[in-house]
Amino acid sequence: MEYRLRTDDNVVSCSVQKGEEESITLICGDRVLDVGYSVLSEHHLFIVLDGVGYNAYITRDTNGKSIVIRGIPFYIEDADRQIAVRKKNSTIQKDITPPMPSVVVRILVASGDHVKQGSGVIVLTAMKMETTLTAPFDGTVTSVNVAVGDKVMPGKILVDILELKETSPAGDGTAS
Amino acid sequence: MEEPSGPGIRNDCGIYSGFQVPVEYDPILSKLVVHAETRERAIGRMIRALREYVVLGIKTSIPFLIDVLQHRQFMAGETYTNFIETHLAEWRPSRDDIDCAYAAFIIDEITGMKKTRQSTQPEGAPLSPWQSLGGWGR
Repeated sequence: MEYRLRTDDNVVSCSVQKGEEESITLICGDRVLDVGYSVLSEHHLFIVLDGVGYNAYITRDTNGKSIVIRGIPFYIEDADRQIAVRKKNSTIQKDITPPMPSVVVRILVASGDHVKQGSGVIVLTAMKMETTLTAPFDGTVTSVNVAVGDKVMPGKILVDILELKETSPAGDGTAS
Repeated sequence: MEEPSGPGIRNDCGIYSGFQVPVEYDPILSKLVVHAETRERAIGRMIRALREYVVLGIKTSIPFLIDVLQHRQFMAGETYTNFIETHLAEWRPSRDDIDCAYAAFIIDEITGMKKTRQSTQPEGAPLSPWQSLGGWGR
C-alpha cells in the first residue's frame, strides 16, 4: 500500500508492507523502518520503532490526524484525499469583531481616518489579556460603533472600514 | 487527557477529559510543578513530565516549553527577559520523531483503530476488568 502524507507543507511517499502479527515494514522517503505496534485504545497506540518504544496519541478530524509523540503534536494529512473544505477561504476575518467577550480599552481610529492593512484599530481586554484588532485591508473608517468601557460580544462589528479600491490611475502609470 | 506523575512531579489539575471551559474561567486551569535535588535534575524531570503530558483536542505550548528547557542557555541559567527574542525568535516545533508519526498515521489507517476496541489479550483469555474500566474523574 502506498500513501502520500503531508505535514508542515512537506509531502512524503510511504509504502507499507504488513509483517507478522502487529508489525509492518514502512519505507518513508528514503528510510526503511521496522515497526511493531499495539493498539491500546481508540486514541492510544504503542509503537516500537528501531527497538525503542513510543506512545502515540491520535485524534482525527475530517482533514487529517493529529498525532502526539513525546509531547509534540504532528498534524498529518493524506495528500491524495480530495477535501472540498480546503478550497474555502474561510479563515480570513474581514470584520472588526472580538474573538471572545471583551471590554473596549482603547480606540485607535476615528471616523474618516485612513488605515493601512495590519494597522491597529481597537484594543480589547479579556481574561487579563489585551488584544489589538487590526485592519484586514487598506481602507477608510466609516464608523466607530462602540465606546471605551463597552462590553462587546463576538459578532458585534466594532468599527466599520470601507475597503480602499483603486479608482484612478496610480502614480506609477498603471491604469485600473 | 493523561497527567504526568512520578517522584517530584505534582500536577494541580482543575480539568478532565470532556470538561468545557466556561467564559468566566480563571486563567490557570492546571499547574505542573516539578522539584528535584538539583536544578539540572529538576529540568530533566520537567522535560520528562511535559513529554508525558497528554492533552488531546486543543493546542498547548508543551513543544515550545520543552525546547526552552532544553536550550543550552536556559540550562546554564543565563536567562534574561529577552531570552525568547534572542534564542527562539524563529522557533518551530521539532520534527525529530516524524517517522514515528508517519508510522502511527498509517497504522491507524490500516487497523481502523477508531472502529473497534482491539483486545490486547490473546485469544481465549478472559477479558480483564482493567480493559473495561472507564475514564477516571470524568
